Amino acid sequence: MKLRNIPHLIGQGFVSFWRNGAMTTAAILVLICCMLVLGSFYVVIDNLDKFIEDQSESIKTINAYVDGSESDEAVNAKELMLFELSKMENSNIDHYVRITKAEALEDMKNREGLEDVLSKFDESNNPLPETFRIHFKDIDSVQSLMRDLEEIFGADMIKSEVAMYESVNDISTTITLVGLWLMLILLVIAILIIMNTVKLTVFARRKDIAIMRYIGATSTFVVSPFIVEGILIGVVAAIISTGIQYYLYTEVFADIAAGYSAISLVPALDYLYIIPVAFLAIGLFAGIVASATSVKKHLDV
Amino acid sequence: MIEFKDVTMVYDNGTPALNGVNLLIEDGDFVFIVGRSGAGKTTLTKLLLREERVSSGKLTVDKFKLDKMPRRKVPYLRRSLGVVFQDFRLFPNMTVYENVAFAMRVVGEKNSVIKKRVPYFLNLVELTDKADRFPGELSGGEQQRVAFARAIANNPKIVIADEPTGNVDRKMSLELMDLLIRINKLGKTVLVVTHDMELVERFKKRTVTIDDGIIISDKNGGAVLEA
Ligand SMILES: Nc1ncnc2c1ncn2[C@@H]1O[C@H](COP(=O)(O)OP(=O)(O)OP(=O)(O)O)[C@@H](O)[C@H]1O
Ligand SMILES: [Mg+2]
Repeated sequence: MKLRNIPHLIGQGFVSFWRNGAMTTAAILVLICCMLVLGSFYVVIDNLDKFIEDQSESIKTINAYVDGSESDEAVNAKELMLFELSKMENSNIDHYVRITKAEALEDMKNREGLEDVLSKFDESNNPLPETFRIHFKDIDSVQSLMRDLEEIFGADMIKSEVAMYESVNDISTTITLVGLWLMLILLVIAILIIMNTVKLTVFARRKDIAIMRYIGATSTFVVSPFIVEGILIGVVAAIISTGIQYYLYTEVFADIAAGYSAISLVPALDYLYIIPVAFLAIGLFAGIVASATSVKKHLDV
Repeated sequence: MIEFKDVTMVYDNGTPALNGVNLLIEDGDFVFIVGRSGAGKTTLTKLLLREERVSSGKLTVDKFKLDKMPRRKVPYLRRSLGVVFQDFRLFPNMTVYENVAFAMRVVGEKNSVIKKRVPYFLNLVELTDKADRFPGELSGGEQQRVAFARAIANNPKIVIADEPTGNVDRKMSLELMDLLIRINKLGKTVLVVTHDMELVERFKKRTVTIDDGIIISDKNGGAVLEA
């Protein structure tokens, strides 16, 4: 194919893009749904991941409390066991800190909003227990560490955010799975609709296509306008979706997130490349695959 | 050069159309192909275009060996042939001008060349004043002339005309024949399929007669005249 044919072929693509108004619109709408599902699920999961990352300091610690009634010897024995646990090969314990009752109270008093409540407490009536704060390395294998710690300190005395992490993680996995399936289904529907759209054009123009072949048009020359039509559908859907996604994120998602003080949304601009590029990739993939497959069989003249 | 060697052609539905055709047409020849309706004349042109494939035998058009040529080369074969189809095959949604221009665009001709040459060809077939009409708004003869202009627009080496005078009056058919003779004088091979024996008699060119898919005579009209 000669380069100078390209403007003509692109023009032809635009023409049939406009001619098939209804089908083109349907194809674009389904593609937009597909893109928005992907985009929305992606930003939600990304925000959850960022949230977990932000919380990782508190998540990756386990507090083991010691009953105030226990003797110093008993506490020292427990610390020794903890020490041995931490020195074991492949231990999941990064390091631990022993926090005395006084330090714990001091620490609490320094926290915002708690000064008033705790001001009436001092060393004589300190209600806080002595604490071992254990920082661990790997959250995925934390369950066995928890069991070891429970053996040392007793099940009631272990407190951690691991359960919270795990539920957030479960949610994120579920969202990913649901999102991927939904997106795949919508993508298949979009491809089928685009194929139908292009088939209509091909059918309407099958005589012209045959004549083109008789006067020596290459298959590239015949196919290109249909590919252009598919590309246009994909690109238009990607542009519209990017706009809608931006609105959804900055208005709707932001409103929802505002209800939870712990969550601060990732700035929309962080998605400036990934979202439009992903949308464009979906659009081009669907458009090109669908057009190319539906023109093929009409070329044999 | 066109060469049929023991060419047999049977349509998919089992209809035999050509049966052992041997025919050699040299560059620059002018050949009439005549025969009764259903004799196999159009089938012959369809084979040349690779619209149909030979069932057996060898068919060569210039450098193209049609009996074993891969499909992707077909466009280039077709570009070396200018064909006036029996049923015209004009684009119904394009004007006369666009029909001719499009044929040039298909082969990647420059716009400037297209703009210059289309009016020239339309003038040649006397359709300048109908350039903006659609094929549906033309008489059969006028459509035939558009097909004619399109066939020669890309300067093909071989021009094939299937019943080029079937839809025009005597005066126009003589003019079209004149045009074909002029094209032939430019060194191009010309094949004219026709029923019109009066025309054949008049121009004294090589005449190949087909009947029932077999070449029953191949006479050099020019030689007869000279003898
Ligand atoms: N597409 C086809 N499928 C099956 N048989 C066909 C087809 N086209 C032509 N035939 C048959 O092949 C034989 C040769 O047909 P062809 O069209 O070559 O004749 P022709 O010499 O061009 O006739 P005419 O002068 O009427 O145009 C005929 O018997 C015809 O019925
Ligand atoms: Mg015929």
